[in-house]
Amino acid sequence: MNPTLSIKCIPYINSSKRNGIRGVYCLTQRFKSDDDNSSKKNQLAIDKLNNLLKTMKKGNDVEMPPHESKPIELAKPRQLARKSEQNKQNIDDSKQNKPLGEKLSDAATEVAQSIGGDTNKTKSDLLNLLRIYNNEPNDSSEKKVKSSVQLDDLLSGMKIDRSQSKKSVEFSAVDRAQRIRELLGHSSGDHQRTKKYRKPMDNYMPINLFSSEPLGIFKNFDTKKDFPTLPTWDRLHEKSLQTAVTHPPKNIYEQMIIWTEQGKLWKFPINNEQGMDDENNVFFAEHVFLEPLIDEWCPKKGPIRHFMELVCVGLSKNPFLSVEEKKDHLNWFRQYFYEKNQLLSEVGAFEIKSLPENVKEYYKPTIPDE
Amino acid sequence: MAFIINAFQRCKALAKFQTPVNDTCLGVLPCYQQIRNKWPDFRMKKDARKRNTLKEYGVYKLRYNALRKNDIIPLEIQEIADKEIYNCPRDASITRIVQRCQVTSRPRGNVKRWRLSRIVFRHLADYNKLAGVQRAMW
Repeated sequence: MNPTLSIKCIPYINSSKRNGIRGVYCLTQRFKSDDDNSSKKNQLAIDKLNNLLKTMKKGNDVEMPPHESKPIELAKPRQLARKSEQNKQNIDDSKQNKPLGEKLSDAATEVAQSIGGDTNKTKSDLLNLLRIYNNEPNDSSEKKVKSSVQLDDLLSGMKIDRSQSKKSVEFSAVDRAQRIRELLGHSSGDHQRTKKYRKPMDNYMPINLFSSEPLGIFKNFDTKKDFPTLPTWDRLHEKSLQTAVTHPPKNIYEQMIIWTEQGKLWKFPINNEQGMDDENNVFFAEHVFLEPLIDEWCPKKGPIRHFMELVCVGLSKNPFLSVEEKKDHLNWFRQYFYEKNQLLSEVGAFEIKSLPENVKEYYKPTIPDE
Repeated sequence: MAFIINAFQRCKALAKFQTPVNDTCLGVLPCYQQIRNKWPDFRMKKDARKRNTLKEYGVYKLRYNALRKNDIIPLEIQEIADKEIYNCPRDASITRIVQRCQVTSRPRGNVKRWRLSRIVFRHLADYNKLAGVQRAMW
């Protein structure tokens, strides 16, 4: 930071003899920032400052007219340039034709103000320094040492406002933003619009809808369900409600519990007849011994008896039919043979005694007439 | 009078020529909308129809056959049974149904236990979509 700062300062100091305050300020800044550096460097800086003050004093002696002391325009950093220009303008406006001593005193006040701290003391010290240099134009080491010490004390007692540069940067940024907004041309209009929209909300008073007596216009409103119902929509609505209520399983164990409840997994203990609930309570004898069922209606002997016994044997050996289905088979044969009783008697076989208790309507194919 | 009769008849004609409403769609769809079903193929649908027939009438055919195919029952009764079974639906027979792939309706090369064609089975098994199916390794 330091070398850059000094580089920045040099042209500046060269350029503006008139407002040397800036130079002093910069140097003090630099000087302050050197606190932690070696004492040698410090000493060097103090020397430089003293030299600067001396040059200023020499300028005083010469007393050049203001228009002749026009400095050479050099490239400056933008900010510094702007500041210096501002300063220049101020000075040009107010104190163009003032005597140099007055100017110097003004500058001293300005410096004091800009540095902060005890303003009066700073100012007086600065002026003191200037007077010393004015009184002793020749180089005398004693004075120099004395002055430098004084200055050192003075500077060590001061606080340098470093935030100013930052502030100025911020300001400039704000300025630029403002400028851009103006360029775009909707800075003020936007504000007004927002104000317009905001106002009614500020004045908003809540209205109670049910405060007054109803008009009774819609009293005859019929709330009948005349519109058609959409079963798919209803089903989906129900489904969505159910999904809103039920939670998804947190982990695989809960998932497996759900699967078991849904019958997708085996329940423990493993049973091969799991899920065959309708045949659970049926004794095996009902499956196997079917002849008592035909005893009550079948003739004791003859072709029908023979046939029915064979049917019973076949059914008792069939593991894939339930008891109900087996009984149904027997009942069907009973009904069928009962209908053919006449034919049976004609043939010479024995007749079927009776119909079953629960006569069923079985399917009968329609036989077309010949 | 004639005018009234004429109007009445016109009303009748109007009622007759009303477009049929598709009940399942609440008349929202046009009347000649193609009706879609869950079957992958018309052959599959046909097979399903046969299976339903078998489910309903298979038992009767079985009983008639039991009556017919023996030499115990008197011949007169067997002849009657012959006629009756002839008039039963033909599709109510186990030989009429076809084992088809339930996904692609392919009639051959089906893996019986999963009711899938070998191609679909291979595909699903490759992606571990069939529980308990493992690639042979030895």
